[in-house]
Amino acid sequence: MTLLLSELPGTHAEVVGWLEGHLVGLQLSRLVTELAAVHGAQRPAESIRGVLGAELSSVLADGLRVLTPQQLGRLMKQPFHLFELQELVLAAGGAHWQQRMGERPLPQRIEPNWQPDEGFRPEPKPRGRSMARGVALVAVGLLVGFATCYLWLVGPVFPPKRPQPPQVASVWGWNKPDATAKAETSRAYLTRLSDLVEEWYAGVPEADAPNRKLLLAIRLLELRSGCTRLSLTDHPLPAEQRDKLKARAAGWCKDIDILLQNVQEANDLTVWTPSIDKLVQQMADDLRAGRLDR
Amino acid sequence: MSRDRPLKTEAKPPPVTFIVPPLAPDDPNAPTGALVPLRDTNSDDAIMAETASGDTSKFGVLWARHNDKLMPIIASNCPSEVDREGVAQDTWSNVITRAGQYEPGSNFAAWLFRIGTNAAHDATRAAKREAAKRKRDSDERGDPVEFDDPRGYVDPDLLAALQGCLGELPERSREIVRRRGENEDNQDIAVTLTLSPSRCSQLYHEILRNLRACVEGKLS
Repeated sequence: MTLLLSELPGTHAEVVGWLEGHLVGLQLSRLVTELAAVHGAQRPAESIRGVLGAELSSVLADGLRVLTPQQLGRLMKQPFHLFELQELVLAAGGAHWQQRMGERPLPQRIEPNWQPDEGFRPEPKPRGRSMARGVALVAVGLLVGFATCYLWLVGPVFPPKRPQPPQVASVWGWNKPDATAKAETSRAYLTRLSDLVEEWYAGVPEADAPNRKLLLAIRLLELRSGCTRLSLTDHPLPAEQRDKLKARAAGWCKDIDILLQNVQEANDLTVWTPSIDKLVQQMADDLRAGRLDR
Repeated sequence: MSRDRPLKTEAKPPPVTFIVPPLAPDDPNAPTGALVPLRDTNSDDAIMAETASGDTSKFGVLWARHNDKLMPIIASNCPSEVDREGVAQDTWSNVITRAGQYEPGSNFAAWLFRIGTNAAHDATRAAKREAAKRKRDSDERGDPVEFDDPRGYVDPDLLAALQGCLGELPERSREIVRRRGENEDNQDIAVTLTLSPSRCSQLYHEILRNLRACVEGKLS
């Protein structure tokens, strides 16, 4: 075992980054246990809102760097407050915390062991739609979720524990592990991103493919997850160019959301596939040309 | 903060969503991919309202938006031996079945976290019951199953082991660990303990190595 406290940095600035990483990470419980042992801390009666007061909104907006070393020290001395702070930053944290989440490593795996026919359904409501429609839509929604989840987090590394739908493909495009690896020049970096997004075309379901709507939605969700990565990664580019790329990617993510929504609602997919192809081509062209201004 | 009520956040300006207008395949003059403002049908509230009425077609959007934030909450509320992905799946299925209880205008993520926390606690209780049962089966002595933490899981075995090992440290070593654990930097600690900052850093890591060995011994 490793004690997390052995990784505690020696300066305030470094502790800020280290603690923020734990607040958006998966080992906060362990860290709180270690700090509670060091300080003999008990669960506090008061809320962190009372401890941080007006500073709380600054922390949610700009992170722990707004706290003085003494304020941060008080948080570490009463580590149970970190649990409440974690909920707050994940539920209502601003762009700073979103960025921190984007920097954390993805979980190693997630088991796609939900089955869409297990009968999850909303509790009956007086004005509800027919149950049959509800169950069918739950099945589609969950199937999309599972497949995306599997592709996104497991990829080709872990073999599936259960048979997977035939449409499951390998990780592609911006989801590839080396998509955002450092390149020799900014131009080479952007060109690689451009090439990667054009992999979209290799996996678009054929017009006569069974379950085409579902396959297209899954493909779009994969594109969306790659876009999220693009918008949250600290790219190895000059600061101005990096910020422009992240902002541009955030705009693309919104466009993909809209297209996904419309694909899900569409009766005729031929109406939407040209728009999707156009957006992908626009992204590829802009990246290749270095056009990052929104 | 009450556990039973969703967190309220600062008022935010309403998001603006753009809908791509449908293209007429047979119209060569139809706009291609132009975006015009229309309505926000992808918000958490809108998707939850549709889910409550039985339409979960956009539920994947909600999942993609929030699952990454849910996992740390679950990890903070159950021991590592609990299947956290399973807890996440239970959480999302509960979101569907309880969609009618969600209050539009409140913070969906906070509401999701409450469900996730409860699911994590349920899974922890189940794991503890199972462990107690195994213990009863092995030595015919059962421990009561207790788990009443309002927020966050602290491993009682690790806590006790650490406290025991810290108690065995010399006072000076304990002070270094305690002060580093209060965000005091090596420079300040070194001044009061009449050490050099680098020696202070070196000592801290030596102490932590010994502490780890001690904890491993107690837990094994």
